[in-house]
Amino acid sequence: MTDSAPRFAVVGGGLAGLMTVIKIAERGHTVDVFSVVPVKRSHSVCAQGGINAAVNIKGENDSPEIHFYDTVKGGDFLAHQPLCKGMAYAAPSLIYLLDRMGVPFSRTAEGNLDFRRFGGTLHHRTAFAGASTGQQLLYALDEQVRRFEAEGLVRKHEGFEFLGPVLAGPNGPCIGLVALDLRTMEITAHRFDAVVMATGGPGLVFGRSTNSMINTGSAAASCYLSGVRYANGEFIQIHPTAIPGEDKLRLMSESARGEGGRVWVPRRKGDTRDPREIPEEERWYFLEEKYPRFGNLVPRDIGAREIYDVCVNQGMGIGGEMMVYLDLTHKSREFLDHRLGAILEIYEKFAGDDPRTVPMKIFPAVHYSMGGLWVGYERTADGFIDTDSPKNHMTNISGLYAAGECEYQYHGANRLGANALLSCIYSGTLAGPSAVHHVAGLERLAAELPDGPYERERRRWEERFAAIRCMDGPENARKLHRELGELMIENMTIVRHNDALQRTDEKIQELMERWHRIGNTDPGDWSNQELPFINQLWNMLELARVMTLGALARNETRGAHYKPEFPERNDAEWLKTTIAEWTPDGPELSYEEVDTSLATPVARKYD
Amino acid sequence: MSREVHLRIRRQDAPDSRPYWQDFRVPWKKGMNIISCLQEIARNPVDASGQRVSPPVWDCSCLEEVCGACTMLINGVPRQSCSTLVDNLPQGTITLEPIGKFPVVRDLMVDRSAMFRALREVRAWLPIDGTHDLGPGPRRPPADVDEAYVYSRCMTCGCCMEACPNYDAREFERFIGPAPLAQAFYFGLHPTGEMNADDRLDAVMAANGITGCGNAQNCVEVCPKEIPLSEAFARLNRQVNRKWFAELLGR
Amino acid sequence: MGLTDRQWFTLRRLHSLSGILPVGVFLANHFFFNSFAVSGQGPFNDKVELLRSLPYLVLIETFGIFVPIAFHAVLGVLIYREAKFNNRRLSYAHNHMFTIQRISGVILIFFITYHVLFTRFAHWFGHDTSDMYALLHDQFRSPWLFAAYVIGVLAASYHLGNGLFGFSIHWGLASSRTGQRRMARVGMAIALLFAAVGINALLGFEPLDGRLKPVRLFNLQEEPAAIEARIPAETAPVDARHATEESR
Repeated sequence: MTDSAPRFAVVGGGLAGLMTVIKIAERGHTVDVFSVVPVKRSHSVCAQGGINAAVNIKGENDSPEIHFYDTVKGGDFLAHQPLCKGMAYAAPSLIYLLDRMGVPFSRTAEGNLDFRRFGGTLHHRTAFAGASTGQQLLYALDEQVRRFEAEGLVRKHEGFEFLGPVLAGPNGPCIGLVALDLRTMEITAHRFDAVVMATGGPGLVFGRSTNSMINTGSAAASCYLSGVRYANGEFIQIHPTAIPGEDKLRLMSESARGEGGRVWVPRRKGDTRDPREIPEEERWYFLEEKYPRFGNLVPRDIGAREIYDVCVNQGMGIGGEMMVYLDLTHKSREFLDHRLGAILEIYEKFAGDDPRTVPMKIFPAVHYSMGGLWVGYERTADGFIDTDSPKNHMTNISGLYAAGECEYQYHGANRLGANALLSCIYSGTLAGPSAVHHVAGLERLAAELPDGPYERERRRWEERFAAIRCMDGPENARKLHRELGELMIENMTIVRHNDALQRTDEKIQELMERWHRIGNTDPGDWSNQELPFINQLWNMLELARVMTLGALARNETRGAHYKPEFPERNDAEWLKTTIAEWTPDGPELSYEEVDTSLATPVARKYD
Repeated sequence: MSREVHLRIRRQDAPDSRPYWQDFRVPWKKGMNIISCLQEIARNPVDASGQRVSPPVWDCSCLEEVCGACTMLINGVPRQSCSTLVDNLPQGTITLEPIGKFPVVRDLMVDRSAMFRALREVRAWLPIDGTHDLGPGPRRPPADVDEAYVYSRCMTCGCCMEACPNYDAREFERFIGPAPLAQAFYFGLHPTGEMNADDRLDAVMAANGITGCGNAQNCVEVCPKEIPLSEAFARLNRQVNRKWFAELLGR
Repeated sequence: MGLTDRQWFTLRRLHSLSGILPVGVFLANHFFFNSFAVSGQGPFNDKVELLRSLPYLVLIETFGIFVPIAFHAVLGVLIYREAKFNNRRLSYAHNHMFTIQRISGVILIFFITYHVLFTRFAHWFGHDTSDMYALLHDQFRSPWLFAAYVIGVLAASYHLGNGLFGFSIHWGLASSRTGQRRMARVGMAIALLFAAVGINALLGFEPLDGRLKPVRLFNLQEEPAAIEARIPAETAPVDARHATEESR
């Protein structure tokens, strides 16, 4: 190969990945995108409520500074502040960019972008396109990428699974990747000068969650197995409002509460009446009662915890179950259809009731991972981000980047609603240029490197898949996965106890033992979905340990991480980032200081 | 005995191999959809006669009818298998087949890349000047945005393409299909898109463009997002006819 | 096929247009003039003579009727071949209308070919074309031929009526879903009207040896039998016309 142009790979075609692609292609470089699904089907489509930006359209004196503060306070001060600040200040221009790309954001009567309220803030700060904002944003980026594709700057490898990075040495740099063609099952190594991971969250580690079936976290886990540090894995967001389901737990967006939805349970324990027949004074609006200022719009960690308390500790859940009413029936049908149509349709289709007339039954479900691959950044003296640095969003392995949910920045211990879409897009605007800066400083391009490492990695993966294909034990991978999910949901969600976490880790190791006794159910060599799943399952097990051990070690309560044994935040000991590094004996934990130079941590209160 | 769901699945091992049918029984659960049936089979890949088989391959991702991946023929009708609840189907055997207008990859999985190619052909994007900060986009009347929003929800699932009697992905040069045409229309609803209408309309007027529509209107019937495709076509026709006249006779 | 995109577009648009203008207009005209059969042999043959005496007849027949229909038919066959019918699986009204449109089109190609050969060019086959009424009356002695004509009339009526619906979309006239539904209904109403008029015109030839008779609505004149009775058998149709007028 004597190709002298630098080569960039972006793994994952959600918001973060596509924004990265656009930023690289816009600089005239060709980019290869690897995605397990056509990028237009990425999980970003599932985001519903909206995207935050302090545009202050409602004249509430909102500003990026307040947005920044709400974000770090929402994250219980565990996030590095310069990136949060950069994100909050960039947000208005990103919304304008998306608007120019054609996102059909809902409008005010004057034709301006409309904004709705979301959790963890008192301002109308969330721009939205009906109740399918993520879908519209992803499509807008997809369209721009398609434009670059038509110009020949973007090559899409859809239906390819990232198996692992190719490193020049044990500590990097990253010089390429190995991918599996999910149709032909062929494994190939590819040369790249920079690889950006944008592979989303690990919801499937919890079996059923609000995540898509592709959100296994396997690609990020594979990087972790190759030496990339994994940060804050224990911080898993539980969304207070989801719809139960046999196959997955569907999200009921926070925008339902942002538009006036009220959460309640009957005041009388075991009240079996139809919710419509329960008079107002016999309903307990427990969030409004306990949090008069934020009401139903407390941050998600608090909302989920209160629902847990009401249902489990006080036994007041509907029918004695972990379930509460989310009520929109006091709003007019026209208003609801216009502002929330898409999500109400989802409820109607899957739960069978019309939420415009019957209060929805909802319960908390795993939704988002604040933790992820460790990535760095370079700040300026005034606390902003040095956008010319190649260090932004680079993992500890040179040339290997991460953006979006698969990395750990921005959200600290708890993410605010409608900050995910923003952080994905913003991180893409940093990671892309950063990768370009990195490549500009390289002495030798990947195209000129010897074959050795590529061949070695390819062969290693081929051998692993050949071994998986031959597995003929009694265990079923899908059943093991279900067991893992049940275990994690039981012990690693809203409430965490050290003894249970200890047991969970032991159980995960048992599952890892049993993984070796899996029987592969599909001998086929064409479009075989079992082989990649068995491989992903191993990676999920590895990640599950990172999450569980991180939680076990962190003896405090912070954001989404709640330990009744240690009910207070402990800044003296735990205002630090958990970092997990892979060793053959399991994750090795270390800690890193958090940059809190821009906003001093204070007690986090919403009442 | 507990209730069971009986599924009859059309399987095909590879694109050029012969299809065959397999029957499965899975335990019924309240509120279950087609996806949970298929997941249950994957956990216990045994057919109705007790034979161990490889689990059927199918496409899915979001499971909430927004990614467009899990389209298949359920009792002969193209729909999303996630939002098709077993209890809403008539009693009796449920047949699952891959949608037929696209090449089968394996079992229920098909290759819909022709749809993405079509989106490229109709230039389904807004040609923005760059991603740098250029301030707010054009103000738009709320009613215009509401109208556009309806079309922006197309998830490229392919139900309309499957239902269209004039479409076949293997005959791309004849007709690019309903979904991409509706997208071409969608971009014309944006002020920037309107400025650049000619690019898209050229593609719409191509030999495989809008003239391939025969008004069977099945697309509207099967669209899971209830997109008014036939309305888009009529209005797109108005636009291309105007362009055609302008070219023939001058403005 | 060696056509540019624009040429093909133009052909497809001309196809849509030609179905209405001139073919649809011709059909309306044709059904109306043939309805003179309802008034009887004399008035009908009289109109045939009138049409035969039109100035520029060959030009009108060639470029106003034959070429447009032939063009519509040839392109129609190509359009027919694009379709992969799926009515059994997708049993929706418009889908059935789509399929019937294509099938009726094919029927019409065969029917019109036969119909033109054995009426306009019947003399090629040794038929006497001086009394067209009698010619058709004779043909309609056969229930099969009569049935073929009924099918032809139904096919043509439907094809035009539903074609109007398609036309309204191809030309961007009916854009909203309700508008299109309305247009489809208008199309079907027009099809019914054409079918009624067309079949009544067929009945005007007293098919099956006179066992079937046309419906004579709103006729201000006398029964044809009465007219015939007053006119000597050998009188030319031209006189018959005078006679009718005088009788008013």
